Amino acid sequence: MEDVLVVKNLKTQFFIYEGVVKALEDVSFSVGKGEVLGIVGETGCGKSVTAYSITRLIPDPPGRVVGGEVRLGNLDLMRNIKDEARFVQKKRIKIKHNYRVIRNNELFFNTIRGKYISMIFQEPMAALNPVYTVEDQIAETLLLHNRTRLLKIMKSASGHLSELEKWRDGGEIEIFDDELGEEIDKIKKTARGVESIRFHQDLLIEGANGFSKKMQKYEEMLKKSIEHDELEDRLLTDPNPTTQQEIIKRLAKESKKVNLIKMSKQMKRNKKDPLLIEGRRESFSLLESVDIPNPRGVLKSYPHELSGGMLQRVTISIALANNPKVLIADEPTTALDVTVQAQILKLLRDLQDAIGTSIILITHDLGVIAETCNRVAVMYAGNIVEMAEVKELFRNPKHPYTIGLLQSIPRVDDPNKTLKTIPGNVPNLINPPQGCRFHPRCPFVFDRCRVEKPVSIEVSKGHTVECHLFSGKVNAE
Amino acid sequence: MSKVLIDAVGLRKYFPIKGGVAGRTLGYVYAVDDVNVKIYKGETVGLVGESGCGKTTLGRVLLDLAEPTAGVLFYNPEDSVSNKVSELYKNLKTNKPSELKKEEKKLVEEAKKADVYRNKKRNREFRKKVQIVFQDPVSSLDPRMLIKDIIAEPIIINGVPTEDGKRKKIKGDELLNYIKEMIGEMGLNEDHLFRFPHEFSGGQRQRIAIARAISIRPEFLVLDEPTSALDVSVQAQILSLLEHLQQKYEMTYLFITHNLAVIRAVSDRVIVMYLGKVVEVSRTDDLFANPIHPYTQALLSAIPVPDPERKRNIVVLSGDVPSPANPPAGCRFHTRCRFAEEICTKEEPKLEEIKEGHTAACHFAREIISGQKKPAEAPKFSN
Repeated sequence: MEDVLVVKNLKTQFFIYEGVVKALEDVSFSVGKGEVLGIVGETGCGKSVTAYSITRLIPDPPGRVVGGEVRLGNLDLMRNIKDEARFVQKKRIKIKHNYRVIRNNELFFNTIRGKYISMIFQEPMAALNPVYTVEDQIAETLLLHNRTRLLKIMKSASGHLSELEKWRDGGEIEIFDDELGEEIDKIKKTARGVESIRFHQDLLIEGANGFSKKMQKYEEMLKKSIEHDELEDRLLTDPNPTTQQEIIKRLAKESKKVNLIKMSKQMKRNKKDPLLIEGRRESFSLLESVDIPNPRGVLKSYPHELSGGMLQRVTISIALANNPKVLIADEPTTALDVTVQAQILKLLRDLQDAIGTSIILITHDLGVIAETCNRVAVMYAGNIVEMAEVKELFRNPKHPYTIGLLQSIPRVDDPNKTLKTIPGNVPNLINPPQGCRFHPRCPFVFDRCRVEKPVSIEVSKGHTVECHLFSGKVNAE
Repeated sequence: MSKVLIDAVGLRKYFPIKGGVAGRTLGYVYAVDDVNVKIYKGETVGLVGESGCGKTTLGRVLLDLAEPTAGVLFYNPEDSVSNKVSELYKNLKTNKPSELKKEEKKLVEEAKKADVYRNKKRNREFRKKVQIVFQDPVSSLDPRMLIKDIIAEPIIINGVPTEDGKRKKIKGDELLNYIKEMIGEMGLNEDHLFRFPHEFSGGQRQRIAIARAISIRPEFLVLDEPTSALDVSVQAQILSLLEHLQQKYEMTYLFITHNLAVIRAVSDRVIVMYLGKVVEVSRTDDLFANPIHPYTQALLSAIPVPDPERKRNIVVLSGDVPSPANPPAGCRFHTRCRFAEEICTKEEPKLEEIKEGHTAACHFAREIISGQKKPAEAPKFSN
């Protein structure tokens, strides 16, 4: 299977007053095309930090990705994080930031986030902006990352201009109502692809001359936007780091012009911007694709008017609006009821079948993992301790932590099983235990665990474990 | 069967929705609507339902933390009295609070004779016997109190029971020793007593909350989602602690949760709620083996099972829970039910005993278990 995202030795630390929190220590994994990778673990084991590190959303200060590689296609997303800051070690660690590099990286990541890697968060209420309607928020992501799509729709719609004029002259439709009335629905049925009726109303009123002038402007925009897209795609496919650097410079220059604050101001001020209107139209079909009942009503509503399950559907539609290569779902169903959870998981599976996006699903619920994932990574205290195909992991767990985790879930299907517990708590990551980080809670602990950090060992094909219990056996063989 | 400890008859709790300039009452949220619950001594009852179905409100009303709009709550009742009152309450049909008050007045004379915990003096006695553990251990512990003070507070107010059945107030070293013993039992140690709540992890805080609740040796303990804020490994620790404590102190539990797997692990009987109504009551094994009500069936099938090789038949319920301020007429579940027929939209089903120890509120309960009625592709009625 072709790997879409490869993470190698990712290291993230938080520099706080008490010391350095070593949140991630050499996390490595890869996500294949169209695969669902589950990451499971307890609170504070670094699941979310992994997701935030990949998308560079770790708040800095105090957090910082200090090393490692994240490859998306041929591009290393972490290629110059080392230039961003220098660590001066005196009595306490001091960080000297290089703000020029940081700013450029930010601009560069704005093109990656939302387009190639997008995210669904745990709290849909907190993920959406309370002062904008749902359609504006969906349109925003399209405006930022997918102008080509909007402009293409406009262009295809313009082909129907003559038909529209004929209808007008034929007297069938006299005036276009501002509201989406019956007449307009009639047109929509006849002329397929006419998504922006209102835009065409303006065109019809202005007449053919005005139209061709306007369309020329949009044709130019379309050309530029396609160029931009090609540039971005080349960035991911080009294996040469120096060309990558050049492309990033060009992209950074362009994205300086399109900044987010400007964009939202533009939305507020110019409600008749055809591109924005087109974005809103497009958001209708996106909402339809996530099975929202009555999408037209939902479009105009604000986040507080919708229930948790609906909001999560809206965030999913935003995340998938640009067909991202990787979708990171950070506990997408934790805040929802079981029945709604079942709906959302089914939706995610269906959409994944349709689009073929790779998904990284972060959760603490092993039941959700078993039902949705192809492969699982079990995390403990900043390390991936075990990784296997989902069936293999549940049938044949190797790491003592995984075994403990599996035994501690109450099962609906097996009531007579007594719950076993893992004694103790997740360790403090400022001073993590020496050697294997799990050894203070491990029932099979022996001397070597307290001293030496285990390395990842492949016990069977595709099944790796970080535990000394298995290194001995492999050596003997 | 053992003795009834708590008997709630015709319990209703409506929350007024205030609005407008004058703050008029615009309507009511029917959080708990005509619920009859019996809890027997020494058992663990699971109360399960989606968020917003009124399970927490019911828990609070059962402890008299929220005053019910109508209904009687018996504690340790005589069967003859409670049965009589419950017969009377069956006639209470309206759901308008003003009329309810009037109609209930007629019943009150009878109810007064019964052991009703509605006046202050009785309430104080009642409080010594019941306790609650809340969902969020962060907000239920006072951040400015030491752990020892948190655990000591209920003991100072209510005292501890002595061997002869009375209560004794203790203080000084005796109190401290008592708390030390308590905290040891919770799996914490003595130095933890002189710390503040923020220094503990979620699981430890929940242990402290449990220690506070059982420090006065209650007979009845309401556990309101005690483990939903915790990790699975910690959840298992707390559940086994609770089981141990129940055996030791002979407590009765009401376990409120939305997690059916937890319910299965801990409870003897289960009450399933939907939109303020009880839809099914059964012994745990029976409920999980043969759920009767279509809602329970859907709920059970929606739980993800941690076993990738098990293929399940998931009944995905369409839509969301309707608003409890404006519940659907007839059977409240009919908008999402695949078995729904004309009668469901008009007539409200009664909670009937379908087989021994298994009651459900569905018009087609018997047909569904015998397999005569087949589900439709999609719900017939929707809102």
